[in-house]
Amino acid sequence: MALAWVASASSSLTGSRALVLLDSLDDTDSYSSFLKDLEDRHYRLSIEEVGSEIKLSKNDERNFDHLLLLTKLKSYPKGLTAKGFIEFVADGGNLLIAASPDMGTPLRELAREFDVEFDDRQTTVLDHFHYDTKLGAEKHDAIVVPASTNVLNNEHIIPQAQVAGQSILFRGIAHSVNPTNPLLTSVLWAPNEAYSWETVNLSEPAKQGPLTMMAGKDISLASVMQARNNARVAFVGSTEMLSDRFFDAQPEPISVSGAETTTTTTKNANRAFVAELTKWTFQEKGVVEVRNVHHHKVGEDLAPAHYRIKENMTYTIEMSVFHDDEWHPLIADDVQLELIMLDPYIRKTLDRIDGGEGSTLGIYTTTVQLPDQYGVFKFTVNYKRLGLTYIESITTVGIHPLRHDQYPRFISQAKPYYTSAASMAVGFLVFSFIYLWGGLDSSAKTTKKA
Amino acid sequence: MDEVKVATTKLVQNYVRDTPSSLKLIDAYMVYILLTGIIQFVYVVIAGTFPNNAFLAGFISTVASFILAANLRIQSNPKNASQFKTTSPER
Repeated sequence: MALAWVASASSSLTGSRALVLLDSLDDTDSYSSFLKDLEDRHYRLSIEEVGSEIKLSKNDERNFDHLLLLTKLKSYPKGLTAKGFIEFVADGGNLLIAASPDMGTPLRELAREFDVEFDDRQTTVLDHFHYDTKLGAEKHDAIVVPASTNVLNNEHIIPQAQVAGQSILFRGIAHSVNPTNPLLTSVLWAPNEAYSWETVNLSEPAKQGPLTMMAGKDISLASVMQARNNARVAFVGSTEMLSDRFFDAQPEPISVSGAETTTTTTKNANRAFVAELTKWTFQEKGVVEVRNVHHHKVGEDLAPAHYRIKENMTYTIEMSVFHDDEWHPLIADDVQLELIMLDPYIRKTLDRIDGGEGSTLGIYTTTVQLPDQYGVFKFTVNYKRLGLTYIESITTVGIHPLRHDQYPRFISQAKPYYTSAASMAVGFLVFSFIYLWGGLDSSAKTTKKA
Repeated sequence: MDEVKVATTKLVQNYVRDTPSSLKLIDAYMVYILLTGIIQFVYVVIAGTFPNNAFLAGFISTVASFILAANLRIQSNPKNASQFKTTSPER
């Protein structure tokens, strides 16, 4: 009953309890549109200052399902360290981290735990070719990012249809994601001409510190991670990107053609982008569940206790994906079945069967001939795709060898051998008969003759 | 070449004349076993070893028969009689 209530109360499959951490409660007003959007999606928001005492869990149970860090995090909240945040994620909680150029060291450390490296202190992403003429006129730091080209094209995270042709306003710090980390992906990156540079002491370059240069597409502006336990973490390099001011602004990017510069206006996609990003991060979409796994011999319906080598069998897996508050059939063409005993013996792409109108099941099936090898096998569907819950479905099945009386007999290829063995037996009898009673010469006589 | 021919002819003549007919019977039996074994060996080279146990059974039965026949021939050869004094004449 309680579970059903939670499910209906929130669009998120994790739950509806969200904690928003701000530097000061006064900041609430500047994020009112963002927070209202969350409340409209049935989140119960607790808004706290970083300075207050925060308990993320009690008696090993999470107090919150989602955590939004819209703070510089100059110091950790009382009784909480980076480890506390990591444990929150390890416990299945979802995390949104919004950073800014004046972010604190604790936040940097926390991001580093997730393989996300923010650029040096007081650096900002600058772009003299894509700055907004109203918000970034002075330093060229408020940049206008075209969503069509700079947003990851993944329908499970941010569908292109929601943002195509629009622009995202961004003023904040660059970060890089470890490209060798398969759990981590950049979803929004800077235009080619952008670079990350210190914005203090601009007039006195000598005072500027040594800078690690990041430029162009290497600069991630927003990125996402899905941990192995399917908890999700999102990083945004700009707290301002979530603010009302940036939600409502009409981006007026400068456009350079030759020596002439003109300004144009484009549609603001910040709100749509952030909505899709938080929907994904808070498990409102791209969540896959395995509903059923069936396997049986061809011509039968029930799973046998064990199979025999080289038998034909059918494997079926049913999976659903959650989005828009409902379960839908998972539609893909790259779901594979593997038969593994230490090594994969068979790997085969499953065929999707249409579940019919209104079905929430994506049904994938295939028929395979089991290998000529007995042992304990695992029927594995290992489906890990960007933007979707990691699926690893393992069914352990024994494959037996033939019983002694199940081998083929009187193989035609072996008939010469059977004939030979039989002729040896008959030949021995005939030979013995003639040798003993055939009236042959006694050997002694012959010797005498000779 | 002629010498070989002469020698062969003489060998055959002596065999036909001097060998007791019981030993000739054993010889014929052994040739038959030998051919059966060779045919199987050629067959396994051509057709493959698939029912390997059937091949082993067929082939080893010829080998065993051949060895038993050879032993019988040695023991019943009058020229070797001195070595097998305890063997009864039926053998």
